[in-house]
Amino acid sequence: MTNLSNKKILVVEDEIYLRELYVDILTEEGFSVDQAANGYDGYLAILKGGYDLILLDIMLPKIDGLEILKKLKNDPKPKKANGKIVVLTNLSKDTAIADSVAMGVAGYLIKSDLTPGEFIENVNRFLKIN
Amino acid sequence: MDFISLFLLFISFVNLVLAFIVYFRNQKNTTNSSFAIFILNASLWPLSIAFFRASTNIPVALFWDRLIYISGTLVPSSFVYFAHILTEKKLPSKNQNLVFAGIPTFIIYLLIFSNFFIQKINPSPHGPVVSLGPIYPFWILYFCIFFAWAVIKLVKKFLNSRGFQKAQLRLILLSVFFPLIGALPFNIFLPLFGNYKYIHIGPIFITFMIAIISYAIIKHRLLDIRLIFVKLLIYFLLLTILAGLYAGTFSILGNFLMVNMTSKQEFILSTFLSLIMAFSFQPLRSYLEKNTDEIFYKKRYHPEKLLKNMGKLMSSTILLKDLNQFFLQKLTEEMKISYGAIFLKNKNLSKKLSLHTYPDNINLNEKSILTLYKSPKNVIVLEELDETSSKKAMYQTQTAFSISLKIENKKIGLLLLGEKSSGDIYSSQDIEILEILASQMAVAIQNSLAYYEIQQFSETLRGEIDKATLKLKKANLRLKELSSLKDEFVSIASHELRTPMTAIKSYLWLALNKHKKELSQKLTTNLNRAYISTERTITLVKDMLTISRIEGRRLDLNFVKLDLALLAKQVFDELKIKADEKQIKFSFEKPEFKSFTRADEHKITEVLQNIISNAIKFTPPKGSVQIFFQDKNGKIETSIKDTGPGIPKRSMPNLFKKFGRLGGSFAKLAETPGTGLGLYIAKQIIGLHKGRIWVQSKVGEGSTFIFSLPKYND
Repeated sequence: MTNLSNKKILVVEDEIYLRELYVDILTEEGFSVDQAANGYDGYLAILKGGYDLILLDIMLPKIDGLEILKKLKNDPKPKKANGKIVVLTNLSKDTAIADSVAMGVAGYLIKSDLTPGEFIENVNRFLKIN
Repeated sequence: MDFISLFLLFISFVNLVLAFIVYFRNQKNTTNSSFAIFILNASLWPLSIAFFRASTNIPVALFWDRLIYISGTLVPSSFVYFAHILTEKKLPSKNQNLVFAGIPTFIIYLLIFSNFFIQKINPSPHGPVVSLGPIYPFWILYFCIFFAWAVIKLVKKFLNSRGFQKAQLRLILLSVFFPLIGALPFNIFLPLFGNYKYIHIGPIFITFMIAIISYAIIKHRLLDIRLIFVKLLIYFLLLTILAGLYAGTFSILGNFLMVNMTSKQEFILSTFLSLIMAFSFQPLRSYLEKNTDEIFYKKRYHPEKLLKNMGKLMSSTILLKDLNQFFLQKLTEEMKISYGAIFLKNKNLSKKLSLHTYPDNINLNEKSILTLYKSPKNVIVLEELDETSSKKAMYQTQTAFSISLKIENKKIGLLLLGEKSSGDIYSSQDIEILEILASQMAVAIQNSLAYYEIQQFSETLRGEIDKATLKLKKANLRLKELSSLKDEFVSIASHELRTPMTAIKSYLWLALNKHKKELSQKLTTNLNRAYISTERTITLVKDMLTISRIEGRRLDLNFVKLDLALLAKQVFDELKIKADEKQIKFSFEKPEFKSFTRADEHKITEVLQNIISNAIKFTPPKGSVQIFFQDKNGKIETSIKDTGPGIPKRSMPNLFKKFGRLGGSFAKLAETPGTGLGLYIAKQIIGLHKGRIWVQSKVGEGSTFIFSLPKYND
């Protein structure tokens, strides 16, 4: 666990209760967590880079998650390299997920399917595979 | 009797024949009979002159001389009578009759019973010479006045008429002009001065009259006797030719061949010649007829052919416009008519259709057409009309012939025809043919109108159908739009609902699992119930989205080859913890056959998750849940058997149905709580995979859920 605690995680989530929930439980786990409340801020943070894991919502204000993934494919690389991007969504298995998978995300998490415990388990799983 | 007298007798005979033909051809026609009387009187003249010239004694000569002047008296009066009928188209009134008949009667009376007219007859080397009485100059006056009267009548009419009528009158005037120029000097004025030498010259001029009248009959159908006249002419020619040939052959044979023949040989030869004559008669006749036809009729139409062709045309044309066009074109061309028109009185038709003319630039006065239409007569021929409104209408429309188009005695219209290009009148044969054609045409028109109506009806119908289809298409498009909007709304609503539900679920989980203080038993129970309810709500929202997609046929299935048993094993592994928690005997039997199928992995996983978790949920602790497979006729049957409470029979029918109201009451469909929409979705998904799902259950013993999917062999 100790080797994971210095990992940097970015949470891009617009819903404040969920965002703070994820930030809280991730911080509690010992991760260094940054947060973004909309797609634009999230995109800027991703460009800055240096994250080991990015949890990206799809339905976001200003720029949606799919748009961010598209931009990242074409734009110049972030200043510091990023780790995996995992889509965090409530859109149950449908085209949006298929599209994001096609754009090279490491995986997806259905928010409503997970308890906070399962959420942490999945985060650790993605970080370990790194 | 000398040659001149014989010739005069011949002229008289020809006149007589002409008079009989004209009279018997059309006895009812007053024009014909008055003309016949005129010609009969005229034939009396050369006859009496011929016999007068041949007279050898005075009483005989007196008799024939009287006859000469009786004829000479009757000719001008019958000429006036004829001219009157020809121009006025009606019989003379009583007063007119008194003048036409009274004056000549008085003269004839004087002629026969007094010697004021013929005083005395003296024989001379040139024949008998008559010395005339004091009345003679007055008789000349009578002759001239009556003749002038008739001529004025005819000239007047001549100036006011058109076409064939004008041509007819011209010929009539011309024909009487010749005998007149012969008669006036030699038969009227010279005898006044006692010269009787040249009385035979006047009648000779009658030959010109006969020739001209014959020409008028043939060319301009004067008195409508052309056909019989031509036939007589042909027979006359035929007999002359045959007689000439026969006589010629015999004289040649007689001179060269039969000199030394026996009477028996002569008999055989003459029989042979008679046979040749008999057989050559018919071909010779048709040859002559053909040639005379060409001379007299100028490609006259053939009645039978015309009827046949027109019949064909009428039975093969159905569109009214074409029917009218073809009919009129063919008819006017064949009969050589200046124009033709078909007028139809039909309220159902537009005005445009009611009158059709050929050629199509003919302008007809509609009022005049209606006047003709209202006439009770079936056939109206211009020449036969008195001065009536019909005649006026005919002049206005330049129509020479009109015939009603009738269906079962109901007048539906008129066929109007213009004058014949040749100037001929419509003969009785023409009229007969036109009567046949008109009745056929009426039927053809009726058929055409019926067809038109049916077509109109079907067109209206088609229009209505098109309209309705368009409406339906629009409605369908709108429904699709609405459905798409609904789908989008449900999708977004589901997402929007799940976001706060996730927050609730997560915070409840934190409250239950990550607390620093010990929770009371009651609080733990309460929080747990809130948590379970939240989970149920989330599942429900998800299910609703799935159903919306299935029912909107927008569920995207990604068919791939997969191992069903392997998939079931994964789900089994996932749910093992839950079964263990309840100390349920949870078993998975690997199939002994290859369990490949073609299916959507996610959807089938959902189905397995749903059925297996339900089985675990409803099985009491220490019960058992078995998963096993069977190969049944190329189908893989997956069974999930539990030892739950079982499903009552009355609940079975509603098991795989959506939740809703049962039979209008507010009783819930599903009696077992928590089943929700899972089984309905499972059934839909299995259905989309061409499979089947069902349940075997006994209350108190447990249930077995089975679904079959087609086996997939590469």
